[in-house]
Amino acid sequence: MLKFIGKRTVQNILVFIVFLTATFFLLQAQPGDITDQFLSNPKITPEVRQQFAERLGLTGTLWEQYVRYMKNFFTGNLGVSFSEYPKEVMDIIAERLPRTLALFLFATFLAFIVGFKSGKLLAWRRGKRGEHVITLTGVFFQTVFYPWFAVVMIWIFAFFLGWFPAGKFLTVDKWLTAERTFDANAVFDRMLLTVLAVAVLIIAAEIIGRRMNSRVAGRRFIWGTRVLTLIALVVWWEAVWPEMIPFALDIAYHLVLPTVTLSFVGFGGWMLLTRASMLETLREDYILTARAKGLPDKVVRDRHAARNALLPVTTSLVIGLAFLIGGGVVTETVFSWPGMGQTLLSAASQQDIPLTIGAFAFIAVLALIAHLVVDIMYMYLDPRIRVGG
Amino acid sequence: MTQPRKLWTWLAVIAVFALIAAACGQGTPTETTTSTTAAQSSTTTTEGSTATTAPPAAQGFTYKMGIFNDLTTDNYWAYIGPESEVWNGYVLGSQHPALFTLAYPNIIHVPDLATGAANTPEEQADGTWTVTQEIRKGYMWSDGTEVTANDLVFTYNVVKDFGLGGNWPSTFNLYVPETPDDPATTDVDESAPARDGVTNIEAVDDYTVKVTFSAQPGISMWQNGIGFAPFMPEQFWGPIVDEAKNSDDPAAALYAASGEGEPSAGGLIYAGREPGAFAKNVANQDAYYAGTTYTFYADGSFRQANADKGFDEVYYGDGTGDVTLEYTDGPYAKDVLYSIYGDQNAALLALKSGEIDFMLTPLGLQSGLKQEVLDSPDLSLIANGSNGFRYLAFNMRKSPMNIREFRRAVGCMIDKEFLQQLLQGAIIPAYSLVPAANTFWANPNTEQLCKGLSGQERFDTAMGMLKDAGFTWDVEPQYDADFASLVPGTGTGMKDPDGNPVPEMEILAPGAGYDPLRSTASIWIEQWAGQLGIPAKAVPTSFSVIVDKVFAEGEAAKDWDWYILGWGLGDPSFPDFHEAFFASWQDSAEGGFNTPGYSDPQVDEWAQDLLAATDVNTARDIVHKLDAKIVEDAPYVVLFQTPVLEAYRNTLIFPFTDTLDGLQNLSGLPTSVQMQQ
Repeated sequence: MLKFIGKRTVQNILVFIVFLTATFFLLQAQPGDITDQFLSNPKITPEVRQQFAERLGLTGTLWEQYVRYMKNFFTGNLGVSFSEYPKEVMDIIAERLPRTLALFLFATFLAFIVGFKSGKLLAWRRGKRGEHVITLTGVFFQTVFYPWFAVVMIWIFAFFLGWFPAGKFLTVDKWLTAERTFDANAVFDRMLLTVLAVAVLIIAAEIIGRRMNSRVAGRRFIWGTRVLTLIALVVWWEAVWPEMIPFALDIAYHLVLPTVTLSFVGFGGWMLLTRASMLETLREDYILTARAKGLPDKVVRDRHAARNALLPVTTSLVIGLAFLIGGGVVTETVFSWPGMGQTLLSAASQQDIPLTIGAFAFIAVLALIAHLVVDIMYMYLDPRIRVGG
Repeated sequence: MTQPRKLWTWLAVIAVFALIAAACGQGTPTETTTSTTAAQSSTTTTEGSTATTAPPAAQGFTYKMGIFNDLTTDNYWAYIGPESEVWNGYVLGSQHPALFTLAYPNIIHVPDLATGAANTPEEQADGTWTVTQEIRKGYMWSDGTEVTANDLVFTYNVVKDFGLGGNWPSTFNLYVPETPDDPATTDVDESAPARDGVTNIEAVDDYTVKVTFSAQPGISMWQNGIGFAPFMPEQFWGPIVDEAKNSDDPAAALYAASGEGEPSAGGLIYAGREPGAFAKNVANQDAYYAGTTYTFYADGSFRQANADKGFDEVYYGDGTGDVTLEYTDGPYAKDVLYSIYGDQNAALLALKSGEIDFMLTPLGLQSGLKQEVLDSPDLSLIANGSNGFRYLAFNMRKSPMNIREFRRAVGCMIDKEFLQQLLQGAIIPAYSLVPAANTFWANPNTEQLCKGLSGQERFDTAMGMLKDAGFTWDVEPQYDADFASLVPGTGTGMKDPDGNPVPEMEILAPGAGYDPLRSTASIWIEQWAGQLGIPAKAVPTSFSVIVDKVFAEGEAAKDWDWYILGWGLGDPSFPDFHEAFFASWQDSAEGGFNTPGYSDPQVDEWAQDLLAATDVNTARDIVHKLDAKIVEDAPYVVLFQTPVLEAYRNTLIFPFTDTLDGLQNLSGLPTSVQMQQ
């Protein structure tokens, strides 16, 4: 096992170097460089542009620039942003990443849960009337023109009904008038930490509860842990970050509409994938055996079919999570949610090479880790799979 | 089993119904129509009209504006330096005084810190030129410190000593000494001639600045150069500069410092920001010009008067006669909020709901949203010409583009009014290089080539030009007026006056995804040129690729034929761009900005005179001559300007709305806007 992990890690490192190299040269292949922005001003002389280029390390041959960049990268220096000079790339990513993670993590998990559950039911009730309605709904959301749909959602729920804010991640007046010593990112960080802690606790409780001998005791344990976690969460915030609570609630309130919109669009994919996977599983002999044994429908569906159907869906989720930090340009634009998606687009279009590579490198690292995790997870989820040499 | 199915069915029906309702609801016409132009709005002024009485204004309100990008810095050094983003400028601009400023909407050069009009530089015995200028007493920073001449000296020294980049060197026009050739490298000539500029700035006393130039300074170096250079508060930046001096990269260290807490001498003080969400300025009620009344007269004269500060000054005339505009500056708002939106759809919803009062964007409102603003009873829409132009350029280093009549023939065929109609008013046809809206500088007599002619008349005129120049065809083009096109089979085998076949040529233009206006223009220009038998083909090309090609140096400068791009023209108070774009020494093949490779001794002489001009009237005469001559020679065919559309809530009262480049160019007039009660 360790040998396998070691081998895959080395492979991943090599892939990562190839990826960085390809990204660097692809970005460099764009015509011109960031100093071209000063071409629009005849009063800025070529000498001044040259000085700027030197300051940004854009002088020398391409090979020299590449070697310099890679050396800096692997010594932990991602460089300074060209477009937001002299800000460190790491500082920019650290500023925008929490906003993106908060929005897309929530939306992805919500879409996954709704999609998985509905896909499971759909496959189980195949051929019934409801299947067509739900499948059509799923396909509609999967194929809807997203920018239009997002604007319609804003129009209905923010402008017409006024239930949610039209965009942004905070209520300006609230943040403007309050005396505070922290910024929005500090709140985002704590919210993400909290969600992570809650998720770990609930998953752990779920695993322990399911392994208990008595089903009733297991259920009680799971529900008891959930309630206790929620109480602990409230007590913790009240005790440690009381001044941040109204601001965290404000951010959470702003999260609702984009999260629901993204989930609507995302759940169709999970639903259809789960449905297909479940239908495949339902044809297996062991499902017939389970039915023949007289097991209740719910047990056959949830314990025998759904668990096996989970494999491709979970794989898709884990790999999808790695790409979350890229955010979504459309979502972030329509909902005025300045995160990594907008940053990446703007950096790439302004030829801000360090920032673009920095952001892509994060995605690449997470994607490679996700692949490794998926490989390992396969062995646990499907005992038939064994690691080769 | 039945219940969940029913639930899903109902949910699906409700969702579909909601979407249909939403889609229909957006197009529902409103019963009330509203004022849509400045002329109709309840407040003052259109060009040439006197201000009318405005409704009572609410004092101490928050002026809320929507912007579309986050600030990248709150440091003014960085903003003028490498981070010269317009969004930074909207929030940080107008807080640092300068010797002179511009009075809008007429774009008149007037004193700010200076006690009067610009003094004339005098030649010194050593060949340098100096000018001294007194500055006002009692002009205060918001921390209670007085603005003095030392602040300008401090700023100059930092720019010079730290080698600040971006726009700083051009703001201060720093003198660059001659660069000698390095004897160590025999194969490369590093020598470069000296570049004239400012050699020193000193404070004669707290209220007198003395500037030394290496040569006689023109308007761009003195009045519009150092005259517009910002005074930075030494009491705030001094310690930061001292600390930065000790770092490895002083400029980077200075740029990285926070500007929060910096005192202001303008009407607003920067008060912080929440990254990704908003920025805020608060009013500086003690600003020197707070409560000043500005009066514009029909004869061109201008008055600024403030009884509390004890000044009443008149420039460019005697300040009598008809008043075209009068307003009193605030700030009336207690603070100004810049709220960040991802796109204009979201911002427009916020504008309609009252979340913001004004959309602040350099490109103006997207034309697709125009109707929505017009349909809203709470909003007003204004349109102003932009300070720039889109143009077709010819590579005059090659035949047949080096033949004047060829370029003029193509220019004649371009029906700009048709393009305006085709593009549904998204462009304003332009004929002169200086935008017509810049009334002081634009030459009203610049030729408007073939304007108003029919297709047949354009064809006949252009054919006449080509034939006069000696062009021939195997089969001469025939125009079919019924179909507004070339008669099939004619217009083939075009030959230049030397009998050489005219080669196929490319019209490089941004693609429709980047700019549908220029893309559409290029397709039509291809057709119009084709009617003359000119084998030109529109090639949609990435903006960066076009820039790379047309600014290529050496032999590569011949690697293109025609292209369509645009220029933003910068400071409208002294349009000296003719020199940069058309003087022979600015040939882009040698690193300049004259992309066509245009060369005309008369234009060169006028361009030199323009740079050397020391008074505005002389400069204006030269600009008029340059504009007329260059338009006739057609190295560029000026195509059109784009209107800047802007939307705001009717509750706002602006002192004027007709201004070059729109109110966004004045950051939404945050210190003079008022709000109805």
